[in-house]
Amino acid sequence: MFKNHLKIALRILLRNKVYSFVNILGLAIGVSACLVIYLLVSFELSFEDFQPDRERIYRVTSGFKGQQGENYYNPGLSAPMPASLAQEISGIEYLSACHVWSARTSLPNDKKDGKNPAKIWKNDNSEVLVCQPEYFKIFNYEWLAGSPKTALTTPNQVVLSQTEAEKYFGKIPLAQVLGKQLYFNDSLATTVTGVVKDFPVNSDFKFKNFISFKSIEAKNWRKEFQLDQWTNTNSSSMAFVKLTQNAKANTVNAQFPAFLKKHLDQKDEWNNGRMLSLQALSDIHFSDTLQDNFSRQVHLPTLYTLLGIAGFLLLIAAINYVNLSTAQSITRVKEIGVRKVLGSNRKTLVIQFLCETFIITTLAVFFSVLLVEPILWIFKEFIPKELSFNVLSPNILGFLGIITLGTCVLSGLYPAWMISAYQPVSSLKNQVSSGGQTRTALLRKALITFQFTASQVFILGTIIVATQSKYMLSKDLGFKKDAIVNFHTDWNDVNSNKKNVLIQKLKQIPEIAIVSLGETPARNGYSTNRVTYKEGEKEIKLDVHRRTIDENYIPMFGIKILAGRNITNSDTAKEFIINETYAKALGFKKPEQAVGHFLVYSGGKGDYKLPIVGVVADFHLQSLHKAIQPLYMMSETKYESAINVKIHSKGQSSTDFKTVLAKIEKAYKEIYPNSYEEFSPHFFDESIAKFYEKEERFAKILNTATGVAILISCMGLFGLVAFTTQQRTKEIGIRKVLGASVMQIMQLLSKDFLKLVILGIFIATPIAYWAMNQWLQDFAYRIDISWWIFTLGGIASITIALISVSYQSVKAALMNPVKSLRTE
Amino acid sequence: MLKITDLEKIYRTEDIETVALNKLSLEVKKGEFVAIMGPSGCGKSTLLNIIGMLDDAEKGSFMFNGEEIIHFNERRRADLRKRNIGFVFQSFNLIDELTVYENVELPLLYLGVDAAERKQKVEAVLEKVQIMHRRNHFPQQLSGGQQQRCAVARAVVNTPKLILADEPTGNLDSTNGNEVMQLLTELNEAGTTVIMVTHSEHDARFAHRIIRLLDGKVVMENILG
Repeated sequence: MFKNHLKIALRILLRNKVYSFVNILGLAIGVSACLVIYLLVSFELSFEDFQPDRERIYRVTSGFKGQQGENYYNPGLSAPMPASLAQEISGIEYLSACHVWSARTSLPNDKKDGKNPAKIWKNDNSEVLVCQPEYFKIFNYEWLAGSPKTALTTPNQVVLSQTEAEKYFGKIPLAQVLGKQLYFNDSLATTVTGVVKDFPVNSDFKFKNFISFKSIEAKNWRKEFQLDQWTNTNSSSMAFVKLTQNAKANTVNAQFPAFLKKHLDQKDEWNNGRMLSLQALSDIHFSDTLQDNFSRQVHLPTLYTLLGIAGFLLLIAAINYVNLSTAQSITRVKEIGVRKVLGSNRKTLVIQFLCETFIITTLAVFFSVLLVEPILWIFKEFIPKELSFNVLSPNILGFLGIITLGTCVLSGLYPAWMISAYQPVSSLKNQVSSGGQTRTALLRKALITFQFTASQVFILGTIIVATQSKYMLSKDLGFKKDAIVNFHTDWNDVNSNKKNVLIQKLKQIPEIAIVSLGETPARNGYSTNRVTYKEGEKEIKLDVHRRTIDENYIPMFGIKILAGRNITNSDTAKEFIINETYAKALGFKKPEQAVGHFLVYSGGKGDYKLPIVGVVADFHLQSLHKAIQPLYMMSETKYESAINVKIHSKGQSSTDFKTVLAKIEKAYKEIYPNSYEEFSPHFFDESIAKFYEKEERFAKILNTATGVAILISCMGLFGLVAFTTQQRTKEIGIRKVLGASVMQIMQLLSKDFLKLVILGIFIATPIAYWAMNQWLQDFAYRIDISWWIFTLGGIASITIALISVSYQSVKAALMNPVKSLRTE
Repeated sequence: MLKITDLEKIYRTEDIETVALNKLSLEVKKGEFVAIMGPSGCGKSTLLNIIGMLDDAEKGSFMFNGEEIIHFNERRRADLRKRNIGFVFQSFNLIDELTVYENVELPLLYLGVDAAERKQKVEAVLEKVQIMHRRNHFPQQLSGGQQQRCAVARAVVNTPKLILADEPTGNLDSTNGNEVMQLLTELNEAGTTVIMVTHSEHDARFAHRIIRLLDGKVVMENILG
């Protein structure tokens, strides 16, 4: 019986090639979108879930009460805290202080041997960790050589991960790696005392070099790692804990205020606002507020949005199936009549139709599996590189099974139920009407409307995101950004005179117009200082953004001076320039009123009271997500390491840029021949574009989702129109005989579908308006959602629908009526 | 009214050529009632389709109202057709989704007749064929005879000069058949030219002239008293 079902199902698929194709392709696209999103979401959600006792592992993190009621959070804590925490806080089983260290590694023998160039590995932030032996009691590593009991107990020891050991020493037995020497930053000599297995890919803990904490307790290192600084909080300096079996995070958190009170100087009001709290291990991968420099954070709402998109795409594809198969079923009433007369009951018929759906779904799933790798490739820039697709893994097979059965039931059950309901007598007499307001026709209309509503929401979202992106990139930021290149001088040489020599050299390059010192006007991240304005009774203390600049800075970036004058160059701060927002915050109605007043800020050596010499027009200090904040600028060339170069406006082709960059690099290398830092210049406009990477990625996801939604919906529409025209062939013939023109026939066929599309547009409009308004709330500076967006979206939708309808309707309208009517 | 000379029509499939009309000549005068008879496959329907300007011929001449139309393109033929010719089919060819009234109204819609005139014309013709009382019914709710009367009403609503009837009684019992033939005779008596394809000698007797076809040629003409 089942074999019979399959045979019939296959024949029917082959006979109706257009419908089968539309069904299979539509479902395949929907399923592959689901599959890729499942891969991505399940990968991200699986982070650290291999870790035993993971629900007991936490990171101790810092918070600060900001002045304007805003809190700031830092995943690190002051370096001396961990030692005291371990002793004073109850409920902690193990605690390890950890320092993320971006140190270079070198092998000693390479250095001695003059023939070989020194072998140096540049490690990024996620590779070197200074930690205590407890780290290996908190996190469960598999030891391949050495012992956790002794490995990090004394200074100058290092434990390597297996891949790192192989990178340094090649593929030798791991036992032989023990005892080998390694240098970090040329100055910390270590001996390898253990090798552990690397964590699986679904972990943010990618550290490969574990240096014993005792190594940095020596005097010179103490200072570098600020081990005695209770006031600084550096995100690289962290503490991980494993709580005792019965301890609760709440009870541990409750002990922190008293701890801070005991250790921090309460006279400093800054310390009043400090907080500590536990962050669960499972939160590290998803935290919005705690951004450290080793883990990759994933935006959880984005994942949920993706899941939603996946569901929608699958639903739209399933709708195609329901629509096409219910429409097509009309042609099968006779078969059903015969089967019923011959003794088939409804259940067998339902099973038969579900068999057909099952074959289509299985084929669709098969094709979707083939589509996964290409899709992963297209989106490679924001799919984690560790993510891999293995069809045969039990998770994937399970998911595919569920998707196949789910889609099969979702799209097959209703048509099967509906088709099998035909009464045998009327089926045989062919008296089942194809048109009219039957329940099925109504359902079909509702489903098409739904599809186009979803597509329209996607279209509107795409237009709005694109408009906002364009707005962000083209908005007048209050400064010039074109043909400006920035780079940093060697960090190790910030205080020397070398950078001034470099500046002089750069000025001699004819293509360079101006050179200036100072961080770019708008940048990622920020640094603020507490600045006080005190005159008479009035005292205004604010956290103010700052830029250290030189006299070329304001002319170079084309920043407008509203009152007063430009800054004069100085090694240490002598005077201030502030922005308009700050002037207003200080209560000056006009910019010129601020000039001549004094501000006090706390520097390294006490308080400085300096005059305001100028007020500049507001320019954007950060991305357009953030509103413009108060700003002061001063000249302190001694400590500034960022160099900006403006290239002459003539001859700015990309090859010209290349030669200028080459000249700049040559000058840089001459001044810093031994620099370990790579010379990495950035074009300022590109750096600004990078502020909006997240939006760009979102736009790409949305564009794709829109494309897929439209494609699937239009395929459904195409198939349905193909079917209706086939059903209405005779009617079209009659109408042509009676004098209908081609245009009139096309109108007739398109009208019904267009009505549904237009209805979809109207339903989608408020939904899209609401959703995109939510999204725009992320931006301090944003576009207005204006009527033209909806008009454009509507026109786009109608045009697309018309195109997919027109092929079939033109074909039908051009058909020779003699052929259509020759049925007798 | 129309004059056909040496008309040829050949149907080709991959390996068979079927000659449907073989140098056929025929003239029909204004006001005539002509019946075309012959066995299946003799070319009756093909001839009717060509006269109805639904199909074109390979060779020959087709003068309609003194105008050579054999080389007319689809659009001009359609235009000529909708002004001059009404069709009645064996299987009625009513549109299931439209009511009797709407079916009859359709040719007027395509001619661009305004609403008031349409109403008046449709109602007049429905009265004439005596199905005014079923004007709001759908075709499937009518008997065969009523359906064919509706089809005839549709064919004549725009007062065409020529009515082409393709076995109009083929699907009807004799009572209903006679009613339809009576209707066609009345229309003819009112001045409309009628060309009818039929298998029924009984029906053919309603005509003035019977043309008998065989293998795409006219083999005999009977002029009836």
